[in-house]
Amino acid sequence: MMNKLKTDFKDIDQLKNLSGQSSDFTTSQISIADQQVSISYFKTLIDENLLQSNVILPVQNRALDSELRKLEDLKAWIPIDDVEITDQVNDIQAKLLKGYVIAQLDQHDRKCALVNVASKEGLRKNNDTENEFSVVGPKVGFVEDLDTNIRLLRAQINIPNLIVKEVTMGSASKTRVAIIYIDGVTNEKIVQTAEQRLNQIDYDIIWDTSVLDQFISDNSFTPFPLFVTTERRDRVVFGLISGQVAIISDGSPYFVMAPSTLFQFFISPEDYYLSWLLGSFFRLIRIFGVVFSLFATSMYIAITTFHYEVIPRDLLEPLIYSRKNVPFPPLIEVLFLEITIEFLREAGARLPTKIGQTLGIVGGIIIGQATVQAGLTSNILVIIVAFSALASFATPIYKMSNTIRFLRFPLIVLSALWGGLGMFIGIVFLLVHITRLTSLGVPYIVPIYPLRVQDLKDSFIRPSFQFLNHRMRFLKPHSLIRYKPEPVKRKKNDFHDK
Amino acid sequence: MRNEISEEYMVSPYLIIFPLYVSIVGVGILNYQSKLIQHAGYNAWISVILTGISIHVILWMIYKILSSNRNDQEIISLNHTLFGKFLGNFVNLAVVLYFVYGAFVKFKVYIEMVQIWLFPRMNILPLTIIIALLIYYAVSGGFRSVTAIGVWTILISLPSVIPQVLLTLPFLHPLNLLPLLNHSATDILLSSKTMVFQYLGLETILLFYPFIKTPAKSQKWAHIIVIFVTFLYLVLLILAFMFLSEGQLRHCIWATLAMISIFEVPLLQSLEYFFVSLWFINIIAGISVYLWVACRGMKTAFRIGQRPSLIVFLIAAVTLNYFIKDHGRIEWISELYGTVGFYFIYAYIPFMFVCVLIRKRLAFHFEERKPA
Repeated sequence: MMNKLKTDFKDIDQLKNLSGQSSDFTTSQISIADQQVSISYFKTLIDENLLQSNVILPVQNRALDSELRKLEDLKAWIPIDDVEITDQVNDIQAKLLKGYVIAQLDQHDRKCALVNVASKEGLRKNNDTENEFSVVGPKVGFVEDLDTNIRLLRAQINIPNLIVKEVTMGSASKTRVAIIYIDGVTNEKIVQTAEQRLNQIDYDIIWDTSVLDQFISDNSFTPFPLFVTTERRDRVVFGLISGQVAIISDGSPYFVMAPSTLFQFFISPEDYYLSWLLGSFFRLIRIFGVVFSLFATSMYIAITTFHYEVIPRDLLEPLIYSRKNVPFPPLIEVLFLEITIEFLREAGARLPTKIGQTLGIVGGIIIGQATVQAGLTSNILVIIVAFSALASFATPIYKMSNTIRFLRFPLIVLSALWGGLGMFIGIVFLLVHITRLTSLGVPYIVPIYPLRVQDLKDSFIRPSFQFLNHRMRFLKPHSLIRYKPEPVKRKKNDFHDK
Repeated sequence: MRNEISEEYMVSPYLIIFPLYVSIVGVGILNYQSKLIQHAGYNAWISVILTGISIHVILWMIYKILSSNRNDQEIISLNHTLFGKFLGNFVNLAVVLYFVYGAFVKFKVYIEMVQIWLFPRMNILPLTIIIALLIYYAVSGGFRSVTAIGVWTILISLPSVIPQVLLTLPFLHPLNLLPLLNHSATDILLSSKTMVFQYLGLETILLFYPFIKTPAKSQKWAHIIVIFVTFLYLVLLILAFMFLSEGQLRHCIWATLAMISIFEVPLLQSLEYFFVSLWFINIIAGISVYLWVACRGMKTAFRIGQRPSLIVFLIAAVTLNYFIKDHGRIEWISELYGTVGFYFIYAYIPFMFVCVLIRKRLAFHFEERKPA
């Protein structure tokens, strides 16, 4: 059958009949004074205590001294805000599955009252960051519940300008997806584009924000992540206040920040918690790490396969000595070690933490040592591969470090084919590729191209806060200035006194 | 005839320094010194300055030609209005082929350099196919992408030239430059003519002019980049003069690379091998500008889509590259390109300049005679 799953119902009876096939769907009659009220709900979705104490008991108490004539009375009697009276079957269906109780005066009435007694159990209580750590700074992360996440955001951005727009997506999951931005800061064109792209999506189940990320991205033929995905509150708040849009789906602890640029993937919130000198230094280290991790192994191949002339004589001797027993060409040697590292990473990610650590020791130390002793790889290569693996994990956003590790392989093959020239073919291809990318219509490598000198301040280095009072111009924010910069402090002493 | 160009495809005026730089500077900068001294010897630095000045005049003419008419802003439409449909198309075809030829020469000369320095015995066909795919990817990104590669080129290749200048300092013999003037004016002019080859590429502006946001403002930047390139050529030439004696330089084909070879960092030496690879980005950027310009020309002149013409050009380049192997023939091809380019710059552009002036004068008279 080529047609799509149908989820429309003619009327409330049909809905109740289908739902009744599930064993967790209950329809029961409760007597309120002399009136019978029919209530139906999914047992598993609601909080039964809440239903008893906040719905049935108050209604029965009120019924002692007044009479229940119509549904509106019920609405007035129930001490819960979220009570709705409707006869729209689509509406009823959606709410029923979100943990609402249907109350009808007669079992076959078209009109019913919907009472929200949804259960919140089953969500994790712990909201520490799971994957993006920092040593200094808050460790608040998001959880799998949309309302909690928005509450966490509102706790830090305490102005009504924080706008949350909700859309429902996924033909089977009916997931709530929120587009969050700050009115008066974020350019509404960005919000419109984001909304438009979200509305175009037709997909059955929205598992996670990462799925949305792929649907709304400008180009799906790229290894680069086009949006920063983060579970850290400080990162989301910083993005919002700089004029980005945050998108999150219910059931996902990850926010998507759009539009993002290449540089934002190498920024850690910690850069702003440390003094600007240290912050800049660590950021430079991180960027150097990326470059190193991309090119170190392919350079090794290029040099050992084609360009022995490039190595100084003093270094040539240890290099030849360590490669003396290796029976493979450099390409096989490098692929062997790189793939070992990938195995370790992939296995480590799937295993429980404690076993993962053991595996790290077994893999890292024993395999490394044994391959060298068995003469399968050279010492120097083990060092290079280990360094470049370490460097790739220094990237704060996990998706980006995956990209970097992936990109190593084509570079390795190219440099095995054509040495240094092959490496540069790879580099030029990457450069052309990243200049052609856009993220929600904003060029990916801004502020380098198109050059925005003013925005270049907070890219390679993290300047002092007195220079950071402007928002990024490429986001075209409505208000450019974030705060009044503090004047330069100069300590008074005899030297400066006039 | 006029194609409206959406503003999102345009670039800011200052950005034209990048496509201009990459289309002017090519492999030539690595070996121009030994060719240049054939006539004027160690007085050739005067030739560089003379050529630089003449290029400024040509650039000024180009801007006069292009800004003469508000409706037809590039040379293709101008040829149509000046020479009529048939003759105009003929001239346009010649212009387009000239740029394709230029791209091919850049390509071929670089591939030959790779064969000499890196892979003397390798089958070069797979490499050229990969490079052609890369060029296709770069050019199909449009003019903005072509400009962006220029930006990357300058960011990557210039920082590698500057330390080289500093590192040669202890090995220089300034007395090599003396005597300051021992050649005739004819010799110096003949050397100037050889130097023109190193400036070819400047004329690409004739076609990408309408892609500049406020074209009039870009003239300043175009002159700046010509001054910069002249300065670069002059510095590298004088360094080579002081680094090598005249007798040595006559036999040293790759003078710039010879200077780089003394440059050593803790982990690497003989960086000329690295440099040959690094120059790849410059060549790709240059070829991309040329081919973009040629495809644009095909589109405005003959209404042929840019994609099919680009594919045809690239296939032609790869096939020709495969069949032309003999060094003598490559030399002949690039010398022919030099001659054609010389006439393109010093005959065609001044001719167009005069035509435009006459046309303007006529239009002016026509306006005057019109009853008010």
